[in-house]
Amino acid sequence: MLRFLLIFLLIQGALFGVEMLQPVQKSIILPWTSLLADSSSWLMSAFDPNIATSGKVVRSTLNGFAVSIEPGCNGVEAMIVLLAAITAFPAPLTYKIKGLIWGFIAIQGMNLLRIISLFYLGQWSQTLFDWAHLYIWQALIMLDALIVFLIWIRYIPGENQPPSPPNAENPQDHNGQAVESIA
Amino acid sequence: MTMQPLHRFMLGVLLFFPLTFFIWYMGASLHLAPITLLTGKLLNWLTPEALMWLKLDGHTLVLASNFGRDLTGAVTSPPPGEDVLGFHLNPLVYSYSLPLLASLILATPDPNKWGKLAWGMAMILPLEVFSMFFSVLKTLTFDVGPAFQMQQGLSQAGVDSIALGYQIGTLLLPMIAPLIIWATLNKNFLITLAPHLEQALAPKKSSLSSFDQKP
Repeated sequence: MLRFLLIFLLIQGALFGVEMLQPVQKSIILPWTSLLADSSSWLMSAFDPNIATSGKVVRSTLNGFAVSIEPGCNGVEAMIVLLAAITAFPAPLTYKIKGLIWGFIAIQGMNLLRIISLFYLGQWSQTLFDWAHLYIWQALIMLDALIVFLIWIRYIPGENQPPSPPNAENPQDHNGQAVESIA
Repeated sequence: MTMQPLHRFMLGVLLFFPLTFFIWYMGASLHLAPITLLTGKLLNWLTPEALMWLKLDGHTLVLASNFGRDLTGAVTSPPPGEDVLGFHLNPLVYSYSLPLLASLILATPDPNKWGKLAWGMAMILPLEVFSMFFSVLKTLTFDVGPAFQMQQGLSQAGVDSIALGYQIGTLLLPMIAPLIIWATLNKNFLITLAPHLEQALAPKKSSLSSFDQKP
């Protein structure tokens, strides 16, 4: 456990350091943030025709309200935490890759939900927007990463077990109940 | 019908999450008081000539610097008159790790969850002091500006370190600290979730999850 924590913190420190570098911000983080703005705008335009995007800013053409997706709100930090946890945990490479793919989907899906909900919440109440933006969604995104990690570790084969998901050959968990599959 | 430990945990988090956030927000002046006291003492010890006082006003942190503007508008220390440069900061932006940790601990099935909650609070306190300390230093460094930097003899590397400390304290620690503290306090629960990983999670105790080894 201590070894896992140390490697986890080390990888995390390195990745956060790399993330803060200007070239990385310019070539990866900002384009990714703009893509997020476009994706959320595309999703919202399915039910709301009054949406416009410009770079990392999503704006309502109806009342002018706009949100700018900034560092800390693009899901990159949560992905780094999950990536560090999965990389540090002893598991076969294929399981790590599967965990990262599912984690990416879960975190970025949740992040799109965060952007869309904040966009409409802000048009309704500034106080609620601040609350949700500064406290609630930050915690929820990290909870999302934790839940992905907890589900993932259930599917890692142990030292004396063949590398198969728990429900492939043995559809019951240790409490004798059916378990879900993430792969 | 019995629920799987992970489902039970997730449901528990969903139930405790709004409750702990409500208590955290309503009791902000209580749980932020020791953080403010310790940070104020630390700052007064390290930079006694820069800070006048640090106080809580509800859940707002009020910082009175030992700087003011003279007749020409230049920032000087000590302040020429009674007007000092003051700032209102929001300590809740890094304190939300507290209700997150509380909801995780309370949702984890454990007979000693209240004891672990107390341990968790104790473990997160110094991290909150770290966050508040760098938040105040960042305000002095960038909002009071060159006058503070010259007074403290800060080099560019020192200014960058304060900016980095602020980023870590405000963006990173509140996100990762609750997860690390929770995982450290609840190794047995992790083993319950993934008994086959007992060796990886607790290599020194080879027979910890005895239920898993029954035929």
